[in-house]
Amino acid sequence: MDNLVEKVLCLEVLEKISRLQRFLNLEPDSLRQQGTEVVDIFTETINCVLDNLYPLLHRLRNDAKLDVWEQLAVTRRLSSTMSSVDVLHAQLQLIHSSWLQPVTHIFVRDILDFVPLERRHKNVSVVLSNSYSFEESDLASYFEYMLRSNIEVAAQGETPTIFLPKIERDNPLNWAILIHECGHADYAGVAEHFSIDTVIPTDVDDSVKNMLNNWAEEIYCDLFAIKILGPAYLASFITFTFALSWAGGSEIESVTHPADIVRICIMLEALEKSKLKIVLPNSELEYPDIASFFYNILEERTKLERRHTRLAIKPLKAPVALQDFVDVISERIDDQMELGKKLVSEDLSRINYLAERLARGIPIGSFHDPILVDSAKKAFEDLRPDEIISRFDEFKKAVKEPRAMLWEILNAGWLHKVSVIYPKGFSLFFGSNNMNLHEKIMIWNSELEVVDKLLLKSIESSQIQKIME
Amino acid sequence: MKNRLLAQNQFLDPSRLAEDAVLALSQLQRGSEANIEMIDAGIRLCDYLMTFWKEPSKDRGAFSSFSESDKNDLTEEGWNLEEVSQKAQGIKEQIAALKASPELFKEYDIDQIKEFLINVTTPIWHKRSSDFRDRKIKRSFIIRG
Repeated sequence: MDNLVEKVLCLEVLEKISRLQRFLNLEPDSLRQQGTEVVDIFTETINCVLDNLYPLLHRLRNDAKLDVWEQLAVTRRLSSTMSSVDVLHAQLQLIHSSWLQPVTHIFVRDILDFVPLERRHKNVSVVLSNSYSFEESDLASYFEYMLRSNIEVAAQGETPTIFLPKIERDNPLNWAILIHECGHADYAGVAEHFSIDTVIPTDVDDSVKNMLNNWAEEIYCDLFAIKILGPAYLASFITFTFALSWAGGSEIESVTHPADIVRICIMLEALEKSKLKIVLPNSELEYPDIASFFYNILEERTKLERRHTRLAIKPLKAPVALQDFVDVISERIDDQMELGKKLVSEDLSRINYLAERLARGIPIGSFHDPILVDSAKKAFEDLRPDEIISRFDEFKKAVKEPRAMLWEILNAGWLHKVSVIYPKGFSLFFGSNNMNLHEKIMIWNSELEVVDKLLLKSIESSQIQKIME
Repeated sequence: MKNRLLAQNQFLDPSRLAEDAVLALSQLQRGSEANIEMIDAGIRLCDYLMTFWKEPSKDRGAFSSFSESDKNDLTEEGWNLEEVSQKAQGIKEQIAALKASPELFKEYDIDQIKEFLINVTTPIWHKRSSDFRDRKIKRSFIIRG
């Protein structure tokens, strides 16, 4: 497909706008809400943001391949649009809004089960954030830090808190990034196993030690998420960085984080080693599986920016062989997680079935391959009555629908998004029809809302089944 | 009713003008009809580039702060503003001629115009869209991402 990178980027940015619109339309949970004028001005501003997209949507409807200057014009406009969404998101502080979905807490609690019991926090809070970033902080330390120049605050205890951007409130596919944040919330594990004494070379100066210490924690959190969720975490991370790290931003490292592209390569290697791959059935998308699809669209964008719009930022360049550093962290990570709960390639075998169910509008909290159920039933029918009684438990187990695990639900969700939702978006926004952009984005919002609800329901019912087990 | 900033016509985004003009010029290259307003965006951009850095801007409100910052962004990236002005003058004339008779222009010539419009506005675009990038870089040991 020509202009695939620009089209996917466009859909991702339109999705954020659509989610912003949806958040504004949520039922308020308090009578103390502001007048609707505040929401109206948001809506009007969003319409202006959308108007800025008309020229490039018009261009992308034409199948001719974009030349390099058009590519730059289109990606720049989309980045500026995403930047506007980011700015507007920060202004959601003006809106009194609903609290989290209860299922978000269930999601996080499920993830924390991967942290060994002796280190596991009983409560990790999740709060909606005005800033469009997925972050983690010990709230007690954060308050202490914010008030440091005014008063002395000495809060007792740790209060790990995860921040979820408001517009991702109903979007479990992007909650995948919360798993990385849960890794940060394992304070004891991080301190014990990735400290300066154990991972960082001793012959480097203090500022480098500090940077490598931060990087070790970030790489650990990425691998933690990859081991729990597989390709779904990579997909979620890449779409985030794809939409927000423009002007070579994905190649910029900082004192706190390695460059996104480096992190992605480390995650890809981990997926390959574990043979965790989700094959894409749709050949139109050019790439064979979810991880390579997302990696390549980001790499194509990065290549364009590397040639033409790279920021003049001096790289930090760690004075260590990064591969060796990553190898040490990778070796240690298995000790950090509850063994026996790691995702292995066989676990991905049901993903295609689950994605097909989502495409038919069926929640996937539990699932059993109908062919296997039929064969078990047939075997049951041929038995004598005394055999039925003695083997009853065996057959009950064979026909019972096992619950779908979190990683299955999210990976099936991503497969559904790439193979069904993206093509629908391509056809809606870049195909030939007479609707205007505002009508199209309403339809797009409804499509996304249906998938969100299916996934939320699936996570909820899977967890109910877990409790009953 | 327009808001106060728009009513004073003070907002001008060089990057957006360049993007509109590039998309319109590409339409012409492909032999399609192009949106005149989008071609004119290129002319407006050239007008801006010819003057923004030398005119006194004290009575131009928000516009003046943008032009001051655009001036810094371009010089920091090594652009000579005198040369930018001269080049913009030439490009403006070319776009006007192109609008009147696109058939007289070779593909290469139009590419040169598009290259100038995109490249000269890149430092400005970087700066105006840097919030998220800067926030990410400024994360601390307190807030982890």
